[in-house]
Amino acid sequence: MKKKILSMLVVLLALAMFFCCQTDFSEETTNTINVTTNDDYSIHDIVITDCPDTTDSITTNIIPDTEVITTEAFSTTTPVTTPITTPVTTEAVITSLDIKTQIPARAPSFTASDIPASNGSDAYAVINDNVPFFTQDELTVKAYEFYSELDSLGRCGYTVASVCKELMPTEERESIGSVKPSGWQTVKYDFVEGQYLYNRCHLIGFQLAGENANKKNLVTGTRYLNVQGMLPFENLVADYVKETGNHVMYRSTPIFEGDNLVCAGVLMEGYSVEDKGDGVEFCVFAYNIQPGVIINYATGESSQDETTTAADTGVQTYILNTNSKLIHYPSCSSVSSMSDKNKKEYTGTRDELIAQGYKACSKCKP
Amino acid sequence: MTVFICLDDNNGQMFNRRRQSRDRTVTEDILSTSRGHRLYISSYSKPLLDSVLQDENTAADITVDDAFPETAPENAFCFAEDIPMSKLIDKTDRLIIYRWNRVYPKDVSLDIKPEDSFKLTGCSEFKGYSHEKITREVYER
Repeated sequence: MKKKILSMLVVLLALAMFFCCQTDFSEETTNTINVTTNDDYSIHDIVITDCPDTTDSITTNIIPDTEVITTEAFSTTTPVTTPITTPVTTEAVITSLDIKTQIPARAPSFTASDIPASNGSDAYAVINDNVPFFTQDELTVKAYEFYSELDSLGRCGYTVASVCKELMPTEERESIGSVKPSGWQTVKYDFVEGQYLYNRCHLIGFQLAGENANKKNLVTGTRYLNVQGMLPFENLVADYVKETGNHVMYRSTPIFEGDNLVCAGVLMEGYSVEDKGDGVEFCVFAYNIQPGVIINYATGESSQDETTTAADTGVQTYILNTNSKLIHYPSCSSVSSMSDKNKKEYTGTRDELIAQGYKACSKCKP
Repeated sequence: MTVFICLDDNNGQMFNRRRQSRDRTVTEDILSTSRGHRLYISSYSKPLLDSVLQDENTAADITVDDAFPETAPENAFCFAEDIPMSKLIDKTDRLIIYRWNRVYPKDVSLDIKPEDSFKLTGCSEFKGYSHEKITREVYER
């Protein structure tokens, strides 16, 4: 009898060990999980990457990375939705390990009716006093990236990531020309930098998560949205993460009005987790506009706004020194002494050139 | 007075009450340039220099004072992250600008034109820890 009980215990122990191994992801580096979340977004692909602690400065006031993520974490029920405030107090989350980390973070509480009116030139507007809509349970140092399925009109939904060094690209960017986002049109205007009105805009920038031709991450966006609206925030997050090794919760949500195929803009939210937003905190709406162009957001068709002048669009002709990366007015005395091989005429805006790394000449001060 | 500031390509300094960027090589350069002098910083910049402030050999050389535009002596070195340059310009005889060579969001920009008050006397570039290229410009009266 004793032998029988003993052998049963051994079997039970072996079974327990087997199931533990099946649910322990802590040794894995990448998991792809299909998860059902809610009616709006039925099935999503989530890539979770275990992100080793890369900094000495991480305090204990964060959601521990050692928590094993199981499918229970992707509950279909509505979890705790305490919005973050400034300053954030995540202690409640830390001390209560029974509160599940919500991965992926949900879509933000922001709709087309919340979009502030555009003045036609500002690239972005601050939303909610720059406090992102993440809730306490959505802040995590577990690296992951999430892309919504396209909707029935082929439009992107929200994207979210816990950005860290491990998520960042290690290889060169590849071509994304094969993707035709909703509302895509190939159209040129002389006064648009690079002439093409539309870019395939990454919702989560390539420099943050290394996504190339992922159709769930690319929207039809103007050059202005891409360079003036979104890029500065991507740079801010990327350089902060590289410098500190910390994580930034980053959510990028295209906002479509009605059945429009081109989004009105992108809600961009960022929040640095380990330092509770001290390093990075923003919540802005980046407008999908191009000064001087009227856009039909239902179809993506466009036309030049005849009522605007070159001054309105900030467009004018400059002479560039491609070697020194300086911008000059054509009348600048430095232009005559410039080598022809370094000289380039450019018609566009000063901001576009600055975004390309050019600086204003200190003589003519364009 | 020598003043250090950091700028993006649009002469931006801060967004949403936060610095646009940081790089440990810039911090090290500020410390090495100001070695032998008292360095004034505001309480906002203090966390960047925490390790230095915790070291008793170096802490004594740094003063954390939000009112340093008024209190710092004329031979001081000042790191002005969240202080308008216009508050310091009258006492400044050397301005050192670190340019990130990147574009960041901004709602606070440099509120003077360095060329109007200073002459560019030096320019060098170096690779940062998290920035491909940082340009260091020195302006003097």
